[in-house]
Amino acid sequence: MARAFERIVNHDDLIFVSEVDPAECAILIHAFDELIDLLTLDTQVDETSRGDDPIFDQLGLSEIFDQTAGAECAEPKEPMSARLFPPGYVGDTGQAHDFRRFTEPELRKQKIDNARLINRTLAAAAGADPPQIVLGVDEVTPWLRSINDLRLTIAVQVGIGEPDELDRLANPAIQTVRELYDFLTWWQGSLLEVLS
Amino acid sequence: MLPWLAHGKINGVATAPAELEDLDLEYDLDALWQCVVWDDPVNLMTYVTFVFTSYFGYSKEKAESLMLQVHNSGRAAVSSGTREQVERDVAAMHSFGLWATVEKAQ
Repeated sequence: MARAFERIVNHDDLIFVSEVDPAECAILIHAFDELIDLLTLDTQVDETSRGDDPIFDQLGLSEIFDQTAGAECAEPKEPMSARLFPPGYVGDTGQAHDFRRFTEPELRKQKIDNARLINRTLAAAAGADPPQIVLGVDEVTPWLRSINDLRLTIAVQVGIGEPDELDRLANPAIQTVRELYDFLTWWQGSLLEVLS
Repeated sequence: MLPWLAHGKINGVATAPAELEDLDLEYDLDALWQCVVWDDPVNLMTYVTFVFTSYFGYSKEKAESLMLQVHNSGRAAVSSGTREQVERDVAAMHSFGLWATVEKAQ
């Protein structure tokens, strides 16, 4: 079982420590890998190249991580990408387009870097005994950002805030993904709680 | 448009120079603009407060008050300034996963 983040003063350094077991690490690494894929792929829609990852099929994540972004810096049609890259202007498509054109490539790169940072730490933890996550002060913000990115993408599929949010839980695949969402919410909250 | 990006940076990373003809010659430097953050059911209240304190440097009290305004009213103007400043703030909010938009102040 994962443990909440704790704030520890180690000599003169402030660190934030959590623990996740190897099975949890594997699920998280996979989820962040799929987030990286979503952020990396920005090619034309291709309905024939649907995801065929068995673990994610099992978790019901293949559908939601099926990247179908449009042309470069067009407004994403795929709902999860749209959630990560919202319009910067309301009611002015010209300004919104220019804003996206100038900001999205850098945002995308930053989000990929954040997710990769998390996966490097998780991979190291998976092979350690105990499987500890140790974050320095500089790592906290990229971690919070990327956990949030993953929560946003999962929220699209499980329908957080949607009228049929509870009905969707009748589907076991959705329920499994919802458990991952709830875990990420708890984990992110535990890190925020010990920040100050 | 977005002339600050022509020779500017996002979060410390240099961006590619824009073509001169891309620049909007009617850019209104005197107008006041604001960064509006919109409510959503995913971002934790503690996270939104963290974003406002860490990015804008607001006190915890001010950040919590703005967060509650977003939560209760559906939106809040969290910063204002020139259009270039506000566009930079909006891009930063997007980097945290908050939905923010640029608006002309009333």
